[in-house]
Parts: sequence; C-alpha cells; structure tokens
Amino acid sequence: MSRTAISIVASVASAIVALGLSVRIAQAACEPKIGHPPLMRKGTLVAAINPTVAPIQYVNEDGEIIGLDPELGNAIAERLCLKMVFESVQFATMIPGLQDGRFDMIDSFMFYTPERAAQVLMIPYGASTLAAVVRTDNKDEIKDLSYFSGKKFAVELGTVDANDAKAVSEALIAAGKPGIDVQAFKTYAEVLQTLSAGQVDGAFIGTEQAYYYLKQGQSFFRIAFSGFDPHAEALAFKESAIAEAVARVLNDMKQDGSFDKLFASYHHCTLPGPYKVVTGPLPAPKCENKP
Amino acid sequence: MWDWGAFLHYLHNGYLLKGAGVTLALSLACLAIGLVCGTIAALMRMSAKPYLNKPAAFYIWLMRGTPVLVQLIIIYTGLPQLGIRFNVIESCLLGLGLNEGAYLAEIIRAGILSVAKGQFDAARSVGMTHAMTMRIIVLPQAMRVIIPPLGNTFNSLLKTTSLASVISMEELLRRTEVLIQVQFKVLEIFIVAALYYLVMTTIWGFIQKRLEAHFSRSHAPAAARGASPAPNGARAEIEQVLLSHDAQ
Amino acid sequence: MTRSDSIKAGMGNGGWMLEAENIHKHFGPLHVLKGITMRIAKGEVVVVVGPSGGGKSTFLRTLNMLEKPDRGFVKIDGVLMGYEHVNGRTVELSDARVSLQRRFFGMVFQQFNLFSHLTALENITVAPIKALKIGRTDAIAEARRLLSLVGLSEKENAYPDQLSGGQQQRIAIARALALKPKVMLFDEPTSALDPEMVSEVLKVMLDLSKAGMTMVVVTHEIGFARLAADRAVLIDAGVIVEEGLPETFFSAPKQERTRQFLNKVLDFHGSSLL
Repeated sequence: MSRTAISIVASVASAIVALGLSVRIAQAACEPKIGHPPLMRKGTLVAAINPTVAPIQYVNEDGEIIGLDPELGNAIAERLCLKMVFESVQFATMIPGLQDGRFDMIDSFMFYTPERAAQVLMIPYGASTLAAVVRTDNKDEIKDLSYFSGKKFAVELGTVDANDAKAVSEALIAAGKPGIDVQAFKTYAEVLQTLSAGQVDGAFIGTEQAYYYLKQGQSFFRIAFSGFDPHAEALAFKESAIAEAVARVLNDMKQDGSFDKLFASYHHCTLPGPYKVVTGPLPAPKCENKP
Repeated sequence: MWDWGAFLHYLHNGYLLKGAGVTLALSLACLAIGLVCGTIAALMRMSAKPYLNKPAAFYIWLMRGTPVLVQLIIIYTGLPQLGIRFNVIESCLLGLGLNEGAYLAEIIRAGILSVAKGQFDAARSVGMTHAMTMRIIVLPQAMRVIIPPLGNTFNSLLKTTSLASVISMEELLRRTEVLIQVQFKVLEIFIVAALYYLVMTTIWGFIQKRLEAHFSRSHAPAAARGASPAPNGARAEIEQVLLSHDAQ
Repeated sequence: MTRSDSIKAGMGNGGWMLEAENIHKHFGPLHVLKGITMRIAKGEVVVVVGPSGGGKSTFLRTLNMLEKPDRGFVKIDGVLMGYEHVNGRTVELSDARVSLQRRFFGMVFQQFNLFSHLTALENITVAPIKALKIGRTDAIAEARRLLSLVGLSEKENAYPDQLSGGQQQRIAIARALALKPKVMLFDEPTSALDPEMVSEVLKVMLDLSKAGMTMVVVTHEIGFARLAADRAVLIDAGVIVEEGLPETFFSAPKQERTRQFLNKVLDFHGSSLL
C-alpha cells in the first residue's frame, strides 16, 4: 500500500502545483538590477496580489491577473530586468507573509497606514477614495455617513473602509444617536451582493470600482457620494535593498511621464513624487477620482 | 436578477473547472495522507505500550479537538515565527492530511475492534506474526466496517478543502471568490461552484457503494445460509455412525 | 503392530511427542493453571474433560503459546516452545520465531474462526503461502487434497458465510492440517454445532486419529472419547484431577470429583450413550 500511496500523493501533488498557483509572468531581457538575496528567487520579483478589486486588480475569464496594479508591477520588473511573478494571496495573510519571506513585494491596492508602515517598508505612490453606494430604489439625498445611523452598512473586512465606518458609528453613539450596524465581508463583490440582496442599506466600495461596475451595466446600485476619505496606497517590502531599487524605478517612471500616463488610463489618482519609503502619519492626499 | 446566460457561460469556465480539479486532487492527496497517518495512529493507539499509545492518543485528541481552519492558519502563518515555513500547498497537505488522519484513526480503530478476537487466535495459530495477522486477516475484514464512515469523512473533506482558500490555496472556492469580481455574477457563479461540489460528492457516493460491495462480497445474505433445528433422531444417528467405526 | 502397541513403545523409549511440564498461568490475580504436567506420545489421542472455567481451554492454549505460561515449559518433539538456550541462558524467542514454532501444532476452535473474507481454499492456503513461504501451486494442490480428505472438494470457492457450521469446522480442520503439524489441538470442536452436524466433524477427527495423528481434544463428547481416546484426563480448578484409560475412566473413576463431574455430564447426554 505504501508505494501506491506515495506515487498517488506525488502525482497528485505535482498536479496541484501545475494547476494551483495563478501566475502572470513577464520576460526579462537584461542583467537583473537586484540580486538573490535579497530577492527570494534569482532573477524574479515575486509580488503578492489579491485580484478581487476590479479594475485595479482582477482576473479575466481565463484566470489571468489584469488591471492597474499588475501593469504597474510588470513595468517595475521590466525596468529592473527581473521576471515578474504574481501570487494570488488573501489580503489578511499578506503582511505576515511578507514578513515571513514568502514574497518580495506587496502590490495589492494596500492603503498606507502608520500601523502598517511600522511593520513593513511602504512606498506610497497613488491615492484612492471610497464611494458610498445604495440601492437605486433608494431615492434619499445622502450627504455623508450619518445618514446610515440606525441602519445596516457593508464594508470589506480588515480595510480602511471598515475602520472609517466604525469610527463614524462610534461618533454617532457618542453624540447620542443610534450607531451604524457595520457588517464586514470578504471581498467587494460580496459587499455589493449583500446590498443587492437588500440585507444592508448601504456599502463602501472603492470609487474606481463603483464607476467600473456602473460602466459594465450594473444598475441595482447608485453612488450616494464618492471621493470619501482619500487615502494613499503603497507598495510594501521587507528588504530595504528591494524597496530602494523599486523607489528609483518609480521616480524614473515619473520623470519620463510613463507613470502618470498609466494611471491616467485608469482614471486613478497619483501622488506627487519623489517616491520613497515613508513612516508615520501621512497628510491626506488630494484626490477626487471622477471618471 | 438571475442571468441564465451567465450561469451557462460559467458552467464550463476553464478557470473554475481547474479550481475544481485542485479541490479534487487536494482531497485525494489528503485522504491518502490521512489513511497512512490514521492506520499508524490506530495501531499505536491499540498498543499496550504507553510510549506508543500515549503519543497517538495525544495526536488524535489535538487534531480532532481544534478547528481545521485554525490548524491551517497556525501551520501557514504561525509556524514561520518558529522558523518553520511551509508553502501554501505543503500547509494544506499537512493541515488537512493530519486532521483527516486523526478522524480516520478512530474509524480504523473501531473497524479493527469489530473483528472477532477468534480471528486473531486462528491467524496466530497457523503461524502468522502479529504484523501478518493485521495485514492479511484483520485489516481486510475491518474494511467492511471502515468504509461507510470513511466515505462520510471523505465526502466532508471534499468540502472542507474550501477552508484552504483562507490561506490562498487556488481551489474552487477561492477561484469562485476571485471570479465573481469580474462581472459581478455572484449568485450564478456560486451556484456553479455548488454544482461542481455536488458532482464530486455524488461521484464519490458511487465509488463508495462499489467499495462496500467489494468488501462485502464474502458475506452472503442470511437467507443463503442453511441451518435447521435438530430432528429427534439425531442421537440415534450419531450412535450409529460412531458404532460403525468401532474397529476394535 | 496396533496403535496402542506403538504408543506404548514410544512411551517406553522416553521419546515424548509433547511434554508440558509444571504449567502455571495467572490472569491478573486469578491463578488459572496450578502446575499441570502432561506427557503425550506420538500417535496418542488424549481427551481432556472438565467443567467450564476449570482451565482446560487455557491449558490447550499454552501448548501452542497462544498464552504464555508464567512457569513451566512446553516441548514439542524435543523442541522447546517460546525459548531457546543460548550460552547457558534461557532467552525468549521473538514474536516472528514463536509464530513459526506454532506450525508444529494445528488448532481447531469451538467457534471455527475461519477467515471470513477468504474462500475455503484460500483459508487453507493463506498460512502455508504467507507464513511458511510455500509456493502457490504446491499449496493449492495440498489444499485440494485436504479438502477431499474432509469431504468438501466442491466447496473450495465458497465463503464461510455460505457454509454450515459442520462444513466450516471441517474446513478449519483442513486449514490446521495444511501446516503438516505434529500435534492437533481441538478446543471443544463440536460444542457450537447443531446436533446433526456433530457426527460429520467427529468422523473426520476419528479418521485423523486412525491415521496416527497425535491429538489433544478438549470435548464433552464422551462417545467420541470412548471410541478414539487412548487416555482421558479431567482438569478442574487448574489441576489434573484424574487421568486413565477411557474404559475405566468413564465407568469406574477413582476420584470423587471425577464421579461428580461425570454424573452431571451423563445426566445431560443421557445414559443411552454409555
């Protein structure tokens, strides 16, 4: 039984390896600008990404990871003469995974917070805002989150959006009004699905996302207000050598205009340069995010 | 609004189908690992020697007493802090495999206990060692009792693999999660995923039935056996037989 | 030379086929065997009777080391069971070697204990092939010979579940004989059988005894004892109470306990059998 068991496990495991990871590979054609170590693998830049935020990072029908962040990652790797490899990773395990050396970089629409910057090296490069959405049959005029006092509100788990909603709820309670029943879900699609099903009265999603789905023809929700709480988004690193090399590339891209051109094609806000590793509180960036 | 077009479109989506393939492969691999661990643990658990049965009992208690999700997360994100780093696939095989092994250990132990003690006596008295007895006589008979609950845990395992999505394993549920972001066909895609799970568990149901039939082929239904109560003339018959052999 | 003559000749030479010397056995605090000594010659048939719980089955099981005696030893055809003398010290044998020693004995159980997942033929061949490493073709040929000996050739592909009790027990005898044992041990072989099947099994045992097999039979079948036994023994409360020739043992026992036991057995079986 032992021999059969071993060969079964081995062939199954290799099948898993072949099928398992979703990768997007770009070829390198010159001398790598970062060595191994500090890179995880020679000649390769491994980035963690959670492809669940269209149009910033998502998959096409064939499972290939596409969007703004993958394009940015590919451009960075090309300039560093490295092969770009994306690993599809759950958001919650990204920072611990980076600290454990499972990848070289996080390129996953991760908002900059001082708490995160204390754990890993973060380079803020762009900015995004939140949009509060409600069902289309809700015709009320909604100016800010206090509308949802005493109502249910959906957010994505573990995000800045979740913290913002909870903060507003606490402020309402302190002012003697009913709080907001904030419910957290795994991904933005699930957040919207909950709204669509009428289980909540409103939800936070990314502004770019809201416009993307509306453009796709989704008609069950409308944007109540957008451009809320502009936040810087950052790339994250563990190794300072890699962080510095990437910062140099970002600044080069800014200089020759390719950086702004890429972001403009996605109607996505950028931060003014120069780009470097930052810690501590960051002033709120200017970003309106209109399409 | 339910979109039949999208549902039928996603029904044969390659990205999802591959995810289902990973789910199936992962389940089979963990079943194999579980059977090996479970058999060893069951035999150790049944030993009289404390240095064998205590570690086995501890393993079974620990793996059955904690949620498999917690075990996966500890292996994937906790162990690296102690310097032991397993990648996603290794973590899944280890976590789900060891967990399955603990449950199978109790099932196998029950199966072995169900084999009559006389079988051990007979095997030993025809010259078989303890190991031979287990391998050739006891475990094959125990299989008949082991298969139904084993089928149950495998059915469960097929679906429990979805927990591996939490540590980013590219199985069916994770791919479902990722794919719904594309066109927001949330309900349609989740139902496709549910159907894939259903197909896999149903196929397993058929396989289990065949396995049960195979291991029961030596057991005739009760009606085939003939046994009638003794007629009155039995004693006289015996006397006659015995007396006819009186050669003295 | 009649059988009894050759037995007496064997006894006279001091060449015992089976020697059990001062066998003691405890199960926890229970002292089940309190020093049993028995010497059996080649070809001898010894019938052991006694009340249940008296130790007769336990004694049988110490002979082939299914139970390990706490004191005393067993020798089969001069070979010490379970131990060997190395450099003047007595060393326990490993499980693998004791298992091989068991082939000198063939044991038949009250509950038949046929391997339920194997056919009749496979039941007989599994041990010769796996434990004794005998070739498959030879083992199968011998198994078929034994099946015809016990009159069940046509049942070679039947599973135990499809056979009657008497048929199962006869196959169990064939299975035990497949190892070419020197001594056959029977532990109440007919006690679990429906009465009309008892005779078919006793017949096989009778034939065996006539062919010169050394046998130790624990049984309640007094008729068989009177017919086939060279010696009858009563074991009760862990000791041998009485032993003797069947002719005198059953009709005129010397010990009071033997008398009491036989009275009860006779009441059960009916006096017509004597």
